[in-house]
Amino acid sequence: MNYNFETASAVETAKAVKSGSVSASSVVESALDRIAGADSVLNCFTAVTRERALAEAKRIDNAVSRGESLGPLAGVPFAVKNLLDIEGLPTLAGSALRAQAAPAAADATSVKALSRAGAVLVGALNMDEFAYGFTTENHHYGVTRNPHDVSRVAGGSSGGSAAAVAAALVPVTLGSDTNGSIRVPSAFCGIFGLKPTYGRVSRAGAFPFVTSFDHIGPFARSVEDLATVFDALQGFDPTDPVCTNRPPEFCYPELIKGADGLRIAMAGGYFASQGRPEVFEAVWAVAKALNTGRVIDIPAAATARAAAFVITASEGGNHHLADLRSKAELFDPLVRSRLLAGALTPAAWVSFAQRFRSWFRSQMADVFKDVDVILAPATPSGALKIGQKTMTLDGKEVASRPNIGIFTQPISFVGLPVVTVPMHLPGQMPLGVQLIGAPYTEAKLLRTARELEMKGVAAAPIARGFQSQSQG
Amino acid sequence: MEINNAAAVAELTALHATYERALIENDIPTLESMFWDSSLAIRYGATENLYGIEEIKAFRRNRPKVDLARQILRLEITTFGQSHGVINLDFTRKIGAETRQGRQTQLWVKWANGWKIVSAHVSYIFEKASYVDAAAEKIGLPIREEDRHDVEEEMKRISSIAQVMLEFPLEQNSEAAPRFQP
Repeated sequence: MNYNFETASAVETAKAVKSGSVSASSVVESALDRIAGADSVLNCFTAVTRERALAEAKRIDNAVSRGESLGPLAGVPFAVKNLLDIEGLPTLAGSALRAQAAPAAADATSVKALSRAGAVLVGALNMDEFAYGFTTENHHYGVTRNPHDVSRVAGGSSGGSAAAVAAALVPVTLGSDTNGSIRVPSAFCGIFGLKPTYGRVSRAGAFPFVTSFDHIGPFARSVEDLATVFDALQGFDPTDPVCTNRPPEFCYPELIKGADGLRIAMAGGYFASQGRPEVFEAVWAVAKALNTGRVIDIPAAATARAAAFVITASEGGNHHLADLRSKAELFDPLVRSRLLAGALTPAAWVSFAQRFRSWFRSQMADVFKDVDVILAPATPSGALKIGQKTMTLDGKEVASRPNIGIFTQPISFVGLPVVTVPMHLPGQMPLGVQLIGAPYTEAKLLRTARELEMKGVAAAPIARGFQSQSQG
Repeated sequence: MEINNAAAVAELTALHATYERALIENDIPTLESMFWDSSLAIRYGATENLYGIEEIKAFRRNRPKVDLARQILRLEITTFGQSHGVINLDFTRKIGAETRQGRQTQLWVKWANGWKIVSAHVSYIFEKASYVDAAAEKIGLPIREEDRHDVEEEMKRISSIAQVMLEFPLEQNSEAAPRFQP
């Protein structure tokens, strides 16, 4: 047997478990050991569900020994951003305010979906408070460190989800993306991330941030794993009011097609400025590998970003108004003033933003009439240093935290699906390139990502930078 | 009746200077001696209504002794006959980091023991509350003093980003995306 507990993909693990060549219990124990060894440095986990994980693994091993048929993620350890409900634990959503919340009565729909596919939950992952941030520098639960360079942030708000995968503590995780919170940490940590079409994956049991834009999606180190998890997550859920009733369209079987026949172009204008030179080089490298030099314009992208910002401030602030009135002092200082100001956003701006949103949606529908996949940078730079307040873009020094999401915000604003593919250029922190598609075309994006992976252009090697800092 | 008799104006001008110095130095005996020693004396302050000399004295003695300095922008003294006059002035006063604009009116009567203030009124011009203050009050959201600066800064950021959005020539009849399904 040639099974490597650390490097095995989710798909390889499920095959090995189902064939009986490795036990789910040993896979889960190995993941728990890696978490115990690394997490004092990385700080990805806010809870480890050891007993539950070992019990579930044992059930899977018993099922294997009885010859029962098992799901596509049998025995695969996974962990989820701590805004997803885990039965028996308070759903922190990165907040100290919620530490005393009643334990969740049931798992979130997305957690249940992966468990049904055979995956084994091993814990909950750190995030920015209430998902309002791009760095996972959490005042209450500490900063999640980038496994490639522990002096840098992992990105956010799903920082724990990305760092845990990059460091191979688990092969797959779940996070959420409202304005870039899957795509930014995927880019900073150098892994694959999928923000599905708005409403395609149930958000039931996820603590809301901005319900107009909230999405749940997976992180992985391979496209096969990303597609397998996404396929398990698909399906109508009547308890999420925006969940689509379209039948699932499974992507894993489509991967073999690669990018064949897909019309691919780079986003110009807004998406080709305000970034460090290396992020545009990464986009060109992807375009070259896909044999395209085509550049298209996404109209009024700056307006889309602004409108996303306004709706985020307003909905986010309103969601927390009761706690802001009575216990503002308990919020993270990086989040508090933004929620307070957001709660006061004039209705005139919010209504305008919502009306602009439908205009922008129709414009994007026109754009996708003659293109299938649009390439754009995920972030304006690689991972920032912990505590870094400014960065230099186009020769101007700007505040770093509000600008990390400039390339992701216009896209989630209208719920388009995006796969972020990781690029590792020598001597640099990893970067991410967004593959953006029309609504419900996740399969085309995953096919393109697979093509880039097969060509060796996009890859997610296990981060080793943190290991000199870890014990064990 | 003689308006602005030179001697009367000179007397009130000198008394004004004395009063102003006593006010800034919080010289309570001098300030008290300049008011009419009567239960009919009245002083309306910026935040208090004082009826009778006893209430006026009690207020003086309990007043916080900070930021009393003020800069007079305009002074008008008018007398009516030998024994009646009015002093009006407008001023700015720094309270903490804030500069406030105020005005003061004093009615003076000359008795056997000299000129005394029989009635006075001080008020501040209300500056328009900031958007944050007004909106926070409207929705019942108290903003703690230590958060105020950051919230104002954040509102400026949202505002400048919203301006980018509002420049877009959106059709008047455009509708928000239909989300609500009855």
